[in-house]
Amino acid sequence: MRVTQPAVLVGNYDWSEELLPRAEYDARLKQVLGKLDSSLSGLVIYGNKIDNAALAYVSNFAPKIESAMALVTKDGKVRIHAAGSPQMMVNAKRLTWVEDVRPQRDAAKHIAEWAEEAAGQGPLGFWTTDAIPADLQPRFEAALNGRKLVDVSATLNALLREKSPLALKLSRDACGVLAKSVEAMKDRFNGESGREAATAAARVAADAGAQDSRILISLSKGGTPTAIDYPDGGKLDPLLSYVAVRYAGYWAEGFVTLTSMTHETVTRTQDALKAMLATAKAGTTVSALRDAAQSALSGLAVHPAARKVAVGVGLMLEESEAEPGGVAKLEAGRIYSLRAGATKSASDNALLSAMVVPKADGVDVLWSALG
Amino acid sequence: MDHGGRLQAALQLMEREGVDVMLVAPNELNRVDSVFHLTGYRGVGESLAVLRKGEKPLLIVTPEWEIERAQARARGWDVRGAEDLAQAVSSVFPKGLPAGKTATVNLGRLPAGIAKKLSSLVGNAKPLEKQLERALMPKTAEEIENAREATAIAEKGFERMLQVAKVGMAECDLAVQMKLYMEALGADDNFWLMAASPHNRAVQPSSGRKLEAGDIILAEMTPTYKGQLAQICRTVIVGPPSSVLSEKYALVVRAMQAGIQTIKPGIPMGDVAKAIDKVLSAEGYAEFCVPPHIRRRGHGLGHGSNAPGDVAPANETILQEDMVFVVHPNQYLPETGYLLCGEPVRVTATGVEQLSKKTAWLASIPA
Repeated sequence: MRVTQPAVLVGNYDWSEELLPRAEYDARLKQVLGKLDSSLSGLVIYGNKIDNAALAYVSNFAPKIESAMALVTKDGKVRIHAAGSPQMMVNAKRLTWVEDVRPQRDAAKHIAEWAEEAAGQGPLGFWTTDAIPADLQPRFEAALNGRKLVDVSATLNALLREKSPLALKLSRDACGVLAKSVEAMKDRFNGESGREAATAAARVAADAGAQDSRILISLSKGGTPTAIDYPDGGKLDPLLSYVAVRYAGYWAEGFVTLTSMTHETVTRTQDALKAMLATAKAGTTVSALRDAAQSALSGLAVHPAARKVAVGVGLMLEESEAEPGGVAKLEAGRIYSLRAGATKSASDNALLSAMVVPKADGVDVLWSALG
Repeated sequence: MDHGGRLQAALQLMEREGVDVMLVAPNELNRVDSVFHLTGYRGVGESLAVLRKGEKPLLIVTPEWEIERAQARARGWDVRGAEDLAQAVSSVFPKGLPAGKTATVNLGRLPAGIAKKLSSLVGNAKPLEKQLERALMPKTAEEIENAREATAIAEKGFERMLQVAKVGMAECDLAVQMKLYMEALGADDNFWLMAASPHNRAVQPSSGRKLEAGDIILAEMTPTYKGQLAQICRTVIVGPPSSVLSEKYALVVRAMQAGIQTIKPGIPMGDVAKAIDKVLSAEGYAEFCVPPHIRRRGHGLGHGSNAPGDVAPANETILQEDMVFVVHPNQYLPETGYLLCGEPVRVTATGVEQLSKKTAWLASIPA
């Protein structure tokens, strides 16, 4: 799910050993290095304020402005280069357990110099994100004077999808924050404008410990949720909303449709989400989920925002999948957002979702718009 | 200039450059959104403005359900919702893009996966980033009004901050509260830096550090209103200020005012920075008026263009009426650490208009 990106990540992204002990990162680093081909002499991990899942996985570092990278030697020594002046590294260092945090003036040059002094002679692995600007990797490669930069993202992204017991716990906590935030929006829906309801939801999320929240709401009655980019549009009924919160690095997301009246689109979408939850378990294919939803919608068109009926959620809002078409089937131990939605017209839509962990005999529901 | 004029300026640029098609992408990571600048629409997903000689301009937005807001914002544009930008471009140009007659803006700043697909369609197109930014530089009347509103939001945000900030509160908690407060006032984004320490070396994004007595809080508030940025820079002492701090803060404000008073159409931007440096140098701080202590004394304000660029001695851009930028000495002094003061300004026909109602003062909150 894409949301409007803030200019700066304002919330508290400081590393907390209490929430994410160093041992968790040691284990993650070991797993990362264990998956690397032995011919690689080091690993470059890129992240930016838009997507920092790989960087956060290894270091907890989420760049609050622009971008950052972690340079990892084969024996596990980590250096971070972060946007900002040398004087700005005081607060940057608080974002990670990594002690060696340096300013990032010329990322390509930093990689080349680090490779010369700390990595061996072979090619380097490159773990990046879909959000990397297209012109960056060629610049990195040019600076390396013939040394290859091998994209290992497809291999290492599997680690982001697998959730450790601690990652599962933090995701549950994130869903708890989501629940509080959505409740605040429901409370405000009756008397206040969509924008006020959204602000209340964001405030409650922050009070509950969210590092970040991204909220989209209908622009007009019953409209598909979108960015709140203009002043208050007044009270909207129905109000469709998308709420995403990040807690200790982990995202939780939810679609809700609030209305004081009965709408066929809403009731059918509720049925669709119920049907999906009843069908879902480890091994369920996405086509089975889609069939279950489609059948419950009884001929209503699927809302475009619900065409992806399942997306993996974790350190990013929509995890990269092994298959190019997205989630193929639900896997045990992963966390998914299941989405249902119907549309009749620009002003008659419904969207609902649930956060789940598939098990052998069903799903653990971490949060559901159905209550 | 209005949005229609901006479109005409872009089309004229195409004419001058001899191209029939120009594909314009945003540069989200660097906060220069050329699509927003042209169309008035800021995307949730990736978007592309497609200008074609002799045809109505086209805005392609992803995901496809973003079309409602895009249509509401991009008046006068054809709007198409899509799941795949490259596919959408292909369908607009079924015979391919005109070889040697296509230009691009910010394609390299798109996410790699999307840009790769687009590049295969575009081939060796002419990059026109700088040319387009220059052509679209003047602010529209609406953007100037939005800058005033954004400034008012920033000032209200700062007043609120003085009421809310207290010892023991984490910087981040304060920063989030202020961000939400300014959003409730109508801000749609905020380049909002706030950090505190008894002796600051820089203004930084906020952390979990808790405010302490004797801290100097640095606040750089930059809300956007309908996409237009405005910035105020402020300094707050936790507890009573020392006489040295009061004296040094008065000095940086005096330097800022010297810079602001210099502003008028026809002078190079560099003169503004030099006027600030002159005041500080006269007080013995010349060595702190150069890198690494300071690189610029302010900068342009806008989501689509950073014009007229940095308030820096080497900036030879000639100031013109209706340019909007912030003047901020933001000076490190060895006795006090970094101190922030800054005001947004507009160049008028004969001089300058300060957009903020109040000029920076050394604020304090109880220890």
